[in-house]
Amino acid sequence: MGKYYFRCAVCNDIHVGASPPKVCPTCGAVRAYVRCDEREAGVMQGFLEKGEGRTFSRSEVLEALEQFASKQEFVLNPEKDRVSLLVKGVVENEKNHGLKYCPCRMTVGNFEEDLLLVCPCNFRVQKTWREKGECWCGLFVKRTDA
Amino acid sequence: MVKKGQLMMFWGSECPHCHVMMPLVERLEREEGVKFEKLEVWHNESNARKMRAIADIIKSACGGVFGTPTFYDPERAAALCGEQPYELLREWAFKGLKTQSRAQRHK
Repeated sequence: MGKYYFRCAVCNDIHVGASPPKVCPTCGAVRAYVRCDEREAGVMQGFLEKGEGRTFSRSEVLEALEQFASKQEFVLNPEKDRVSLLVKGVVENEKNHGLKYCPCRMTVGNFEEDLLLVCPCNFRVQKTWREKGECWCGLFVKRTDA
Repeated sequence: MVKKGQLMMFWGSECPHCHVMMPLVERLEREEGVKFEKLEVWHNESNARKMRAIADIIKSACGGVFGTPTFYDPERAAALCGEQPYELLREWAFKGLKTQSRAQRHK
């Protein structure tokens, strides 16, 4: 059975295994793990530099986001063009800046603070999530059929 | 460093909100003669540094978010963020122009 990398979107805890735990042992968040690539896991844990390690293609990022959004109170935005542009952005940002930073925000140059921008981020704390039911970039929207 | 006297738009090539706002900015420029210096920040490090130089102002004006698009008026040190209706963007831009006109009249 293959082993994969998973990252908690709330606290950035990294898990290695066939599947992620339902509850994050570090922060207690439920169903918060998203599959990530070797670079993201390595940079987060400090065993890789930003230019090292295998990275996901756009289709792999999209697949990871779709898996992350399944069985949640949110879904990927039904506007496929928007999702496609954002996926392109996070892949470009990983290639050019080392991690999958949100294309709708900007790094401040502080490694720890910028980790909060890695997509998917802890978007449930954002004002746009509370008021509009979507994350800042609009990648995820609250489920309307729940 | 950020120059005074011209409105600025910090935007990202892969930011959908920026793609929504860009035609509105161009309409404002066309209809009202307002000019924005458009600075792409994810593919241009010089522009990113300009945006980071005013990070505190942007975060303060935008509920803690340091994101794109951000509209910035160096004269007033005022920022407006995210997708906004055309009328709100226009009103925000003209607040700066009125301030500049007043300043020029008192010279």
